[in-house]
Amino acid sequence: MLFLSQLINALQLGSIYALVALGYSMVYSIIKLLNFAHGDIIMVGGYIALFTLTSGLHPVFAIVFAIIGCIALSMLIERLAYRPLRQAPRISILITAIGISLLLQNLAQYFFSASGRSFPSHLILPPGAVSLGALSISYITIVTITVSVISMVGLTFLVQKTKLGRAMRAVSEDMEAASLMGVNNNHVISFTFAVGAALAGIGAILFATRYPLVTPTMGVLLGLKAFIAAVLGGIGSIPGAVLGGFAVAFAEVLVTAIGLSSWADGVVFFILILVLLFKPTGFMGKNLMEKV
Amino acid sequence: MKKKLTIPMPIRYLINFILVVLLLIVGHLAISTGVLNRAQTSIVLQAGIFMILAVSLNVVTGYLGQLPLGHAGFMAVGAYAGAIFWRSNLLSGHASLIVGLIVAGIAAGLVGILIGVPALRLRGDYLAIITLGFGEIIRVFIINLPGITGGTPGLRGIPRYSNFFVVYIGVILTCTVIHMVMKSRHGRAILAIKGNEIAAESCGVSTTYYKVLAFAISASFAGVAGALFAGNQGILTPGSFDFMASINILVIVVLGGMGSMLGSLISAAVLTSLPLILQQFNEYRMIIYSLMLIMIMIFKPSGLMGTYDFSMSRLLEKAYNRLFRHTATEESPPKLTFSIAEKAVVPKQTLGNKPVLSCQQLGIDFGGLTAVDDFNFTVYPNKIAGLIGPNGAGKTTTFNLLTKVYQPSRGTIYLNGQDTKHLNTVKANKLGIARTFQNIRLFKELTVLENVMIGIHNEIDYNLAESILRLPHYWRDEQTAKERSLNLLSLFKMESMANYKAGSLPYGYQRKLEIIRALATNPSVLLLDEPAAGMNPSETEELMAIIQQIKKEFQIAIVLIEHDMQLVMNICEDITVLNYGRIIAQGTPEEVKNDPKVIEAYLGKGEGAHA
Amino acid sequence: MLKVTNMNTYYGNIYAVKDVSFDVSKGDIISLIGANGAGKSTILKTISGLLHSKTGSITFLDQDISKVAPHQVVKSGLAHVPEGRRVFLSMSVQENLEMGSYTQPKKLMAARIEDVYDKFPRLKERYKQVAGTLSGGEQQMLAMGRAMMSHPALLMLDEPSMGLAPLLVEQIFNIIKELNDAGTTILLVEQNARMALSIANKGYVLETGKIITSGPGKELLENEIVKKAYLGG
Repeated sequence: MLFLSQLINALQLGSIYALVALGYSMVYSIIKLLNFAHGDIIMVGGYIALFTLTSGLHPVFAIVFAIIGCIALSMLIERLAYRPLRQAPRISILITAIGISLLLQNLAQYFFSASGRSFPSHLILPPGAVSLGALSISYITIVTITVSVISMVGLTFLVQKTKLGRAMRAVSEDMEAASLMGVNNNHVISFTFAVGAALAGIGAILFATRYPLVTPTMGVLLGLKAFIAAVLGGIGSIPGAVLGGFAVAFAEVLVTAIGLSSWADGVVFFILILVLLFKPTGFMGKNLMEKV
Repeated sequence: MKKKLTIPMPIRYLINFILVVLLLIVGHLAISTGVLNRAQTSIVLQAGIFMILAVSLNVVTGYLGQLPLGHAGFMAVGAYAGAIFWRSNLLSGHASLIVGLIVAGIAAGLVGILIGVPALRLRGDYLAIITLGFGEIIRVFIINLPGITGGTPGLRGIPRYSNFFVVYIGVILTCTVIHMVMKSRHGRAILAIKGNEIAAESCGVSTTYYKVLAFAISASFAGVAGALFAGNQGILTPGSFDFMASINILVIVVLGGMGSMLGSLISAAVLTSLPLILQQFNEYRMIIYSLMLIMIMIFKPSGLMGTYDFSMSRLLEKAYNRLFRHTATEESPPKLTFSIAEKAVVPKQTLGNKPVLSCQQLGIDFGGLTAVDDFNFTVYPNKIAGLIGPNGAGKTTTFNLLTKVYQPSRGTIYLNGQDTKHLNTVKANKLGIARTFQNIRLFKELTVLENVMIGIHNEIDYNLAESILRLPHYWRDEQTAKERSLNLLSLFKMESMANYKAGSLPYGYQRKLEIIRALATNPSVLLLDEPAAGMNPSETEELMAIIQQIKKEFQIAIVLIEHDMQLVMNICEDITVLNYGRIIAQGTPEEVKNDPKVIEAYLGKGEGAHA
Repeated sequence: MLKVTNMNTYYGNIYAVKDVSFDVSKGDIISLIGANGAGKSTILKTISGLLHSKTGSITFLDQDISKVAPHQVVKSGLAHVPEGRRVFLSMSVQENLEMGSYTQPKKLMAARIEDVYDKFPRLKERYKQVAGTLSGGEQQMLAMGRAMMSHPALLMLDEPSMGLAPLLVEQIFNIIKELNDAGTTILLVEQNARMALSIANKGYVLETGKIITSGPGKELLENEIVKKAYLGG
């Protein structure tokens, strides 16, 4: 029974990792950027939700504003910081992403202080649980898993079945050829950032409801874990990101459960290294051989 | 015609030495007379330590062209190794200091090799991620081994060895050693790998060895920097070596300009002293820092210095030439000291009329698909053979099998009478097979001369120590390599382009250079993959002459893949036709041209007839 | 139909196209020939908006397109099959064709795909196959079919014969002629000067970014300079 509740715990954490991982994965596959600022977008989403809730507005606004805020910020960053560097060496844009990440963290620290603020999670979802015999599953767990599953199914449909999704795949493979087909690359890239950010916004609400503390650096570790999840699953792959998210969460929960929580990060990285060594493109990644 | 001033090497070294001593005196005076106060001195020491970190990271990022994100991990290994050694009081005084630093460098270097061997199998972003992972694991170990490392609270009571003199010497030694390595055949090999890995292997450069070497050098110096850091702080906590620390070092390198040592030095100095300068804006110091970072990347993506590197001697030369020699003339190409036939060709032991290359029932499968099957093929010295067939017939795949880029699924390849079953690309090249590529693979950022010299990599054999200490063996071999390269270039009338960047050459010359580079490895079989692709008929004619000249001068076997039937039919003595991975015809040009199977699958009626 | 005046284009730091002017009338097959690096591809890229000329104008169907972005140029009826085919390797044949009609009304798509399959039966056999697994010749067919999906008035082809076996080169050129007979104007860039000039109404010979001579295809085939430099005697 203990094992089962740990399993559900991991499923919930894994769902959040997966949502965030998708943001990394989508951006990477379209402009080959490890978007270090993605975790900090979640932090901003967390603060937006927090302030909306404490201002007394209906919780629905908190969710909507958080998502819209993340989308707007993410598109703005892409437009101002990443787009001018599209032709520049890859490392320059990576450093820029790191710069944005630092900037967001330090701005948050400056305006909202370094110490965290508690998140009124009861306003989003009343505490409580469904009991299944001896097992009780909290509402937030159920909601988290459901919302994540719906988001991922929707995303898969978008990428595989719609015209816009096809354009996204075309742009990620060959920007110049895509533009010759009539695709506006800038729009598609903006849209991709927006989708990733929307998922981040949802992730922010779910994360803050589960762990009700909002801090300027809350995105760092979450971002790093989700990023590992994306790589583990095979960057660019939607089912891969989900699988990776669960794998990271299970490893963490398991190591913590056997009382070695201080080794948890090490174990996660160790798994990452092992997987990359034996399957360099992750669980679901495509194996592209260099043509000689 | 007045000659341009060129300062000879020994005097260049002397100039640099004087410069170093002057700076040391200035620094020492500034500190001892109190021009720099305690806080400022501590910043200077910090800057020095970060200089070592940046310069060492630059070996892997700037020169090798990889992106590691775990440099702080190596720094941590060195820091703890040095600190633990010093605290053990095995030795005392200067001996302790020096041995401690060496221990730190070796420990970090070993960990670098340990990590590098698996990690360097990956490339690009995946290498970045895996090194990030290793860096974090190192930190997790430090936290969880409190008995040895002091754990999270930290390791205290480390002797404060790191004064200005020690750190300064550390910086100078780091820069000197790395400079000496980079300006040697070893450094050229590292730069070649950055330029094009597959081409480097085909020139006989062991990419695994040199990648791990670069990684180990980089890690060792990071370890030394770590120990100096420990000797400066007096206390070590795992928090100093987290992911952000690695990022900070990377930021220094990128801002300075990847591949520029001077850039790393300046950038380390500026970024370390920035907090001091911004002290009165303490609250938004980090905001300014991150904004600056973003701005510099947007407006100067290649970093502050690009790949520019500073040389005092060059500056003096320029100043002198500008002041006293107004009529600076074009640099004339160095004189050739040997006759071409004598030196360009190093004769292989002749095998008489035995085949240089022969394969039986060669085949390879990719997944379930058979790309090449039952390929039987023999070439003799002093012969030109052609390999033709429709696209996707497996021609380039066959070249990849012969050069061991792919390992065959079946069959045997004998090269100069030896079975190549257990050889990789590098060893196959050493045994006497060289090639060019369908899509030209030159080391574009290197000069024409350097490209050819990489071909000679294995003909010269001075080791790492000999290059760092600039022993006579180094000078002798470099001289030989340069002369042989120039001779080869002059054989194809390209010696006047020796100092051009390979990437800036016109297309036809790039193809030619690739052939010369392959010849430099002194092969007995030369494989040419579509040498005439993208050439017009007059260029193609010149190419034909070159191929025949190579055969005549070097007496080697040449195998070529071509679609230009005129070229193939004119110069090949023996032609093999592939279709769907199998040989459908083999024989003289006349036989092949009239073979109905070849006409059906490849030549067609119109084009084949008039070609 | 297309009028290029005083095109001057830089490709990176290289001054690749120098003061080039020419025009294309409806129903033409125009061939641009020249050595590697002569600026042929750069001209096509400038027309389709991937690069921009420093001076002059490019008018297509009475509109100035010299400052227009590539995705807009396609909409005006000009399709460009780039050098090296550049099909989307990870997508299926069918999806590649669907990308080709990105700017077109959805209701026309199915019928046009059938048209392409009629012209290239090989593609129909492989409609579900991922483009990366096609042979070079099939990829060239797919690239041309994909461009035809937008029903262009002018089709620009960059080295369609590159790296293809002689047999396939002949097939590709036959298809180009067929497309032209069916009413598509063709602007062709080729290394294979003999083939390119034999089907062209008019040819232009480029050398280091400049047009050095031009004339009807058949005449250029007899021209001494062209013969010597590009036809091999």
